[in-house]
Amino acid sequence: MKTKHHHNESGIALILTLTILAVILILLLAFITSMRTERMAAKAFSEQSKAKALAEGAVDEAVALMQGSMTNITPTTSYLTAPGVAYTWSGGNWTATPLFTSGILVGFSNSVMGAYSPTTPIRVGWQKVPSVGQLVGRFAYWVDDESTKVNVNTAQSRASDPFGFTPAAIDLSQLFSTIGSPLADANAIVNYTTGTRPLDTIESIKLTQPAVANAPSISANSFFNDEFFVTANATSPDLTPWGDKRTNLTALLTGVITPAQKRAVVPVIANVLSSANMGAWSGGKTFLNKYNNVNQIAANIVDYITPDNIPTDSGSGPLDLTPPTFLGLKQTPYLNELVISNTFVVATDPVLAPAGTITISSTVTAELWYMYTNSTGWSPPPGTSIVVQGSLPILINPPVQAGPISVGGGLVTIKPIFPHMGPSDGTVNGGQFAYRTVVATLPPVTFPVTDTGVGYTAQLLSGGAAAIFTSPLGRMDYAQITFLPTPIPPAPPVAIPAAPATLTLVWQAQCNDPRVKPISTPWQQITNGLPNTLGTFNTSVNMVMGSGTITGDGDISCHILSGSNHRGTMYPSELAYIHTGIPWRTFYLEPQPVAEIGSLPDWLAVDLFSTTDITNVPGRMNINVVNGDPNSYSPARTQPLSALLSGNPSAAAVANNISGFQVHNTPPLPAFATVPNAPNTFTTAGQICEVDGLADAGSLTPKSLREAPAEAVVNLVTPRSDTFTIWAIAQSIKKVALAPPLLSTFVSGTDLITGEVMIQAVVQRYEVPSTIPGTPATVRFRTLYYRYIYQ
Amino acid sequence: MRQGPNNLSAVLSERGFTLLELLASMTILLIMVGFLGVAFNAASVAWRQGEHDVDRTQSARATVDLIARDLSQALVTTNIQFYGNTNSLAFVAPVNDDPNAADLAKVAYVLNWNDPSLPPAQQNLPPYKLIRLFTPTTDAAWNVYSNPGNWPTTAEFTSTVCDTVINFTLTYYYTNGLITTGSLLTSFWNSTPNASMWVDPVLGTIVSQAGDGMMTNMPPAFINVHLEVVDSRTAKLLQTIPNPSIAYNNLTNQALRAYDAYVKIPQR
Repeated sequence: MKTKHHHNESGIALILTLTILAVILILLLAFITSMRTERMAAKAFSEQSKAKALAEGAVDEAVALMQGSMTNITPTTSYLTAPGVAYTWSGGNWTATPLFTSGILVGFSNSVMGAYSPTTPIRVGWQKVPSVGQLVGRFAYWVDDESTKVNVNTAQSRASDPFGFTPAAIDLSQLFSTIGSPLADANAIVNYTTGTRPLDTIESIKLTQPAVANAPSISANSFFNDEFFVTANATSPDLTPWGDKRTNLTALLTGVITPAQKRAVVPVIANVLSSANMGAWSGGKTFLNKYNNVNQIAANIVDYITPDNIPTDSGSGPLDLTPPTFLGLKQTPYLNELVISNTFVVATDPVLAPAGTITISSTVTAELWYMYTNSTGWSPPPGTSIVVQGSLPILINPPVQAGPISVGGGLVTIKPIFPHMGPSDGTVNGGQFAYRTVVATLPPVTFPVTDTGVGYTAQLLSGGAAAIFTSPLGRMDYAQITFLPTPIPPAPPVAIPAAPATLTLVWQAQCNDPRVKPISTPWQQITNGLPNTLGTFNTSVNMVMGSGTITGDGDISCHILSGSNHRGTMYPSELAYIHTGIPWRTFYLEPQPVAEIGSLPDWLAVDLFSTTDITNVPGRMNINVVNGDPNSYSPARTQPLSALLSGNPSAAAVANNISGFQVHNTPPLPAFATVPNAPNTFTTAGQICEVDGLADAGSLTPKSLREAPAEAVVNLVTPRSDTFTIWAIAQSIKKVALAPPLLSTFVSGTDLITGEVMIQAVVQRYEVPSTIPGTPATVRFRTLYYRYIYQ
Repeated sequence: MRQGPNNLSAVLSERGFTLLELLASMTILLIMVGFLGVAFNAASVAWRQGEHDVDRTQSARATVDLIARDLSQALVTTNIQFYGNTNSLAFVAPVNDDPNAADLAKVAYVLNWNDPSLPPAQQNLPPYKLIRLFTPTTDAAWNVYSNPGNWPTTAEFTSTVCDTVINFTLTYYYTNGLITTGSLLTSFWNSTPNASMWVDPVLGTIVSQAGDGMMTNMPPAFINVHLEVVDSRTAKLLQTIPNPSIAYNNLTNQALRAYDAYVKIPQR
């Protein structure tokens, strides 16, 4: 029994011990398992957090690169952008900053990058992240230029604005040309963005179950096909090449009604055309150096926009007799020619024989032209008249009276009510015109004379006559004949004839095309027998007393061939209709004539003006479209350019010329500009006028036809963007291959990717003005869109 | 042969354990087991405590992480608004992963948002459920968020983010770092430019007030997400205890843990 007890007691201890050990073991195992699970969970969370932090860091690095490279725009600094690259002008050099990670090339997956380039997806290099020599993660990013895409919120159907006068006139349907029903897709988007609300993100065009009519609903395939051609966020800075805010002419002229108000705006616009900052950018040259009278150009711009038909006049009122320093072009008739015709008649006098008489009779003829008349012509407002003042003093030799003879004198109203004009008397420069002449005969002056046997001569002395085309609302045109300071040589002597007879000498002074040569200077003298040019087309003026012949091309009207009237607003492309003050010379929106190289190109004026006061203008398209990746894994983005050029029969060729920087004059910017072109890159929006095949197509005439393709797009382009999409990808890595040579590299198939995060971020550049005068604004970036894409 | 009897005899001749020895050994054993039991119990308590901590931490971490991720992607424009009061918020963010649908979705976080699975008596009692409402943007009109009076009363997808919440408090900060305050709420955000009020999704009454100029079309610069949770075991216990009671308070005081996170929202 004892033995049995002994055995039993030992067994209890053993069992107890084993039980306790088992419990401890189970607890330990549970603890280990739990801890292992916890550790793995924590590790997974930590690895994903690491990947997320790396991806966020990649976005931050991209923004830092952009902040450093997209400098302020000043007369001596500038920046340009293209997909994946920013060009910085500073210290006299262009520097290219690649906005992507380079190195070993790996591709973003198509699932994220879409089918931007289906066969060759965007490729960037991994940036390795080591910790004490061991690879723990890697990241990559690529910065896309949103302005190289079509902004769906501003794009329209081209049909709604065939001339491209609005920033919206980009044909969206051109982009959806391969999949689905392009026109229906485009119309749905346009209807929605214009009728309901703008789209906040580009993916919003995928709304598949619209709760409202006309909401866009395009297929996923169509979306992925076009994802990199369209955007909802593109904006660009509204600046001149030297960094001034572009002038919004519409806003400047809103509420400007009275003649005094219009007169006050003229120097403001003239100052834009001759600003000191432009001079600092271009080596001292401005449009003032090219066109002496920028006030006249400014007045033409004012009159293009303001809806009344009273030209903007430097004078003080309807009957101001002083020559205008500027007198804007309006959609009214203008004095095309003014002729004073003197008839010098020497006759025998049957009563006083052998003595005779000299009779001087004068007529004043004014010709009014109305360019580009429409079907109804032009009806004068009540009180419209032409008034002539002054006379041409004539000296008869031998003298017939003390001092010169004046025919006329004082104010003579030669036509108190002017007749209706139009609708058409012919065409000139591709447009219809109407004209009327009015004649006033002044009372003749007769002097008895004796026969001297050598004859009498007549000579025009210094003096002049001015004609004012006027209405009670203001002075509408002004023409002047002057002979200053030298008297016109005497006419050949005419003796009194022996028998009862007369000898006649017609002697005219002509002011030809005063609006073509708006500031009156001495005009043509037409002597006996030569016809005047009344009623002829105005294509050239022989400046007998000026500097030779100037042949016209273009028009002197400020209004357009189509008959469209965009009064109340003005888009930069309409500068092509603004007369420069040089005869028949409107601004050229085409390649700069070779003879003018060295002076400012006309197309630079496009970059001076705007249609908005917004600083970051939506919808203008960047014409620098070549991907900054030197390995060219993605092609230049020409599809959106084709949409921009929609309607141009050579759209594809011109789009290629834009992307390839095929331009006429190289360098097309003035050689003296302190900020010339970056290599093969546009520096100003107006430079698009230099592109081969755009505004030079077939050297069409007239100018308006030739320039139409450039006018259609020049409002809508920019050389730089404000808005960028950053595509970033990051991976956290667990190294398995730990041999030293492999420690810092990723060994595919061996090492483990423990976390991956992609981020799509849209950021916008903006400037915070400095509070200290004279110091540049601070460049900042703000986030418009931030999306985590977890794998 | 002799050895056998000799051995047996030796065995038999051995003296057995005395009672004293047995008592002593058993006492020692009992003491050991007692110590072990105490240690085991302590370990068990610590283990349970640790498990609850992990439970709370993970639950809070996942909840705050989800809210932070959603919030950091929030879009606020002239068309898309942001509303928040002390216990709930709603916004639009590109969080829809469906490749065939638009990226934007309406997201809202509310406490016990019309939870039909709970008996009415439990619906507004702790532990609360923090609910995420998620509606992809098939609604092109977006009028829900352009008019605060039309706070969503339905959502396409609802999910419980955390069901052990004792307190969920949001504090909104202006860009200058100051806390938004109003006469009705300690902190709120209403980005609509108009002065309309909004209806609280839980109470069905107007609880918020119009935003000011600094909020118009803007998200808050920062949001402080304050989350107080208990572990799931405590949460289950709480459901059995009528509220309020001393036991309830004791239990929550012991089990409660608070977490704070500051979430930055990108400014347009």
